[in-house]
Amino acid sequence: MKLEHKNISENNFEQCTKCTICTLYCPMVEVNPLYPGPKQSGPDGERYRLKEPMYYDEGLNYCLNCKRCEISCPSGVRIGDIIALAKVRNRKGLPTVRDMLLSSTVSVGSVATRMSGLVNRSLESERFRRGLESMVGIDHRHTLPRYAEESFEEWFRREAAEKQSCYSRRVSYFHGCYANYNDPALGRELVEVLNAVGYGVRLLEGERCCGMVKIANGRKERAMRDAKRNLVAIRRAVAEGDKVVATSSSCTFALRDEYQYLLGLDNEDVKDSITLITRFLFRQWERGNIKFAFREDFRMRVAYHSACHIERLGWAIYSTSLLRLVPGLELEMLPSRCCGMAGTYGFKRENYDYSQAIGRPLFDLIEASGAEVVATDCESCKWNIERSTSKRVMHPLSILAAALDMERTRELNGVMDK
Amino acid sequence: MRYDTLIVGGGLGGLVSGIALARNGQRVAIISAGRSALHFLSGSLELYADGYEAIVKLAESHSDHPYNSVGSEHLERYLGATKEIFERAGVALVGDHRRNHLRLSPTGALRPAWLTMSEYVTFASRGEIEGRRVLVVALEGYLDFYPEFVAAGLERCGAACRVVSVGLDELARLRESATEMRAANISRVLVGPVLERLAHKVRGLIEDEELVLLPAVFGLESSEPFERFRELLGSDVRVVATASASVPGVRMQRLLVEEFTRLGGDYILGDRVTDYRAEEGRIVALRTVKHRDEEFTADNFVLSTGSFFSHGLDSTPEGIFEPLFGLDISAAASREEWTARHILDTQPFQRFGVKVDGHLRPTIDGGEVHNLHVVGAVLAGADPVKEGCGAGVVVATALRAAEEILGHRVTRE
Repeated sequence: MKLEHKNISENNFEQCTKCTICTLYCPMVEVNPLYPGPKQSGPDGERYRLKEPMYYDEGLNYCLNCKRCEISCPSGVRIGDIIALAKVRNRKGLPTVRDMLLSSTVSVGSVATRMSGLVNRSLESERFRRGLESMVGIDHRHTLPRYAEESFEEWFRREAAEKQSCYSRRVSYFHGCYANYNDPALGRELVEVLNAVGYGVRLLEGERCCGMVKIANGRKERAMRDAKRNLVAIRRAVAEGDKVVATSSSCTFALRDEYQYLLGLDNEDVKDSITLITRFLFRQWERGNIKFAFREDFRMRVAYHSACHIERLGWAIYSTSLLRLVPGLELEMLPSRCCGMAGTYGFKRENYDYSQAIGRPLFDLIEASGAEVVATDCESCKWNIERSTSKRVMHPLSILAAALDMERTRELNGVMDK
Repeated sequence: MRYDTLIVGGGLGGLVSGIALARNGQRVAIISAGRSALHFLSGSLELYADGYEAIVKLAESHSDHPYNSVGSEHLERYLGATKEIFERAGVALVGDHRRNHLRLSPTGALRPAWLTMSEYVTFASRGEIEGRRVLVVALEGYLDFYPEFVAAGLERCGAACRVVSVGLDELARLRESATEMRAANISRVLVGPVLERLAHKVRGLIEDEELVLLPAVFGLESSEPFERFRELLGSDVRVVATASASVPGVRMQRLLVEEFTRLGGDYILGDRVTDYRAEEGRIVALRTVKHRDEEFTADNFVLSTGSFFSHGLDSTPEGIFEPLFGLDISAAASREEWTARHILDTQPFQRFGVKVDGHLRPTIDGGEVHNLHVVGAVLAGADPVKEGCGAGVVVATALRAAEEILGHRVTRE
């Protein structure tokens, strides 16, 4: 037995039996014959790369990092991690201006929210986007997400921070760049729901970008710096007894798994304390620690889209279980498949057509469904599905916030006043 | 997370049990460590190579055979209901458990089968093949289909076969990827106008043949592309199994998962059960790699983890074991007795597996486990290769387990 364990490599590529099942579930193989596919890019290629890094193939850049190969593998080979790690280790040259721009979510976000009127008007203008395409290579056909006038953090400090100490229980919130700069309403809903069930919310001290987009854009050093700072902030919160909840499935996945596997950071001590808000709420509800009172007039037909990284986390069941608690909500499960966006991937000129081709079958299924609203835990899926279909896309937490009778929920949880 | 029943293993057995339980109002989750053996499906489910009547005699010759654990009083009812269970999920099957038919293997061998997906070529008997004029159509550049073997197999039974090959530009484009000209990728191209062009080309090649055979490369998500192709061709066209992965097998898996999900079941893919908690002869909870700090609890549990290939059984030089619960197994103690010398001989290890009672309940160190039911290839007593009974054992035990859990029947009389 001992010898056997010593024979297992990092990311266990030698467990591959060459069954090719992973290639059946690769969204990129489906649309792009130039991509060598997960089997060849992952375990097959790794064998060569271990001998000699010159075998690294630029074709690996087509990989979306969706990890759908990995969850499909009957032999438990970490195919997605093998490919992502090969990219992190072997990618040569500096990132382009475009890739810097797309992955600098904090710097860009903090400037853009300050001048959101101008930025949003510019992004809406096709002429501006054409300029952006010719200058840096962000595809003009892609509408970029709007920026909020005020960041979530600014709102929180002004409106909410002070009241949080009057709750007996507390969690820390990793809002991520999206809730902070593009969708502060989601952060506000999180505070409202958690307060209603008796939890005070606080921010992490010095939260940085989770690093997912930086890893994807070849900026490992920057990602590493942000990751280390985030871990310091998370450790401090956990040491003070907090769980750290996030609304973004990709941020959660990065903090828990990509830090460990791709950046080689040891986060084992805090891993179980980092969780998705839907998982946190459902587990608390199931244990009877919190209660929900729902509005009697709430009606909604919802189709749930399982984003790639929540699929990889294995945690979609918490979001759907939470949605199933809502009376008047009809839930339909969309077949689990990639929407093609993959964070910043779909914005890039060279990827746009592949990205849209990958998403097409999902968009058709969504249009054909009887649902009014698509629910998903991923912000990047949300942009993409909203701009590619006629349906509204909401985070499960936003649906919960809309369905809750907040006043009665506060009463049920013994929360006095506001 | 709390469920009524938790199923470990997301292949045929887990899905058939899960669908039966969810249809009867249970809250069920299936935990699956990756995709299942359905991806290698021949297109057919096998019951018993020597026919249904021979199963009855197993009680004397192999008393620990899973068919005996199911019980003859239930078996006939399950086998009769199977077609309808698949049909409701959108999988059309032909066949009858009282009479095996013949399926055609990728190398042209004829094998007895119980139920076959309706697009595949089947024969009632060898005699039916004699004198048939058959056109075998290969696709240029596609290497996982062996038309000469198929033709030779049919000619041995007196058919007259002609092999032709067709090419399409759209298929040639697939070859830009050196490794990915596979059935699944071809099936994605064969829709709409491309499907029409293929039908047009094949129609032009038919002379006096009454049966046209192509590799099973149609419809990864639904059977609609094949039905359309048959309509366009206007003659009797059927498919033959390819080397894996199997396009119709992927479709069957997908449709069964969709049916299970539609019934409210949770299908958790890509997670692995690491340990369990038991109290007083009952399993109480499972833990998995990805849920770590969260236990999965349930009243009942089903183990449908498959045989050695799926890691439902494992071995070290010292012994064979069931890795998840450490269930008591039936296996030869000495390593020399595990295998026979020649690969095509009857291999003893094929019958190794978990020992169960008449309710499909296992034991751990001799102690009974009251709320765990074991189904499918992880069970001891069957030799799916030599007996041709793989899927029959899986489906029958899966339905038996569902009824044991529910305490009432799940099939119509």
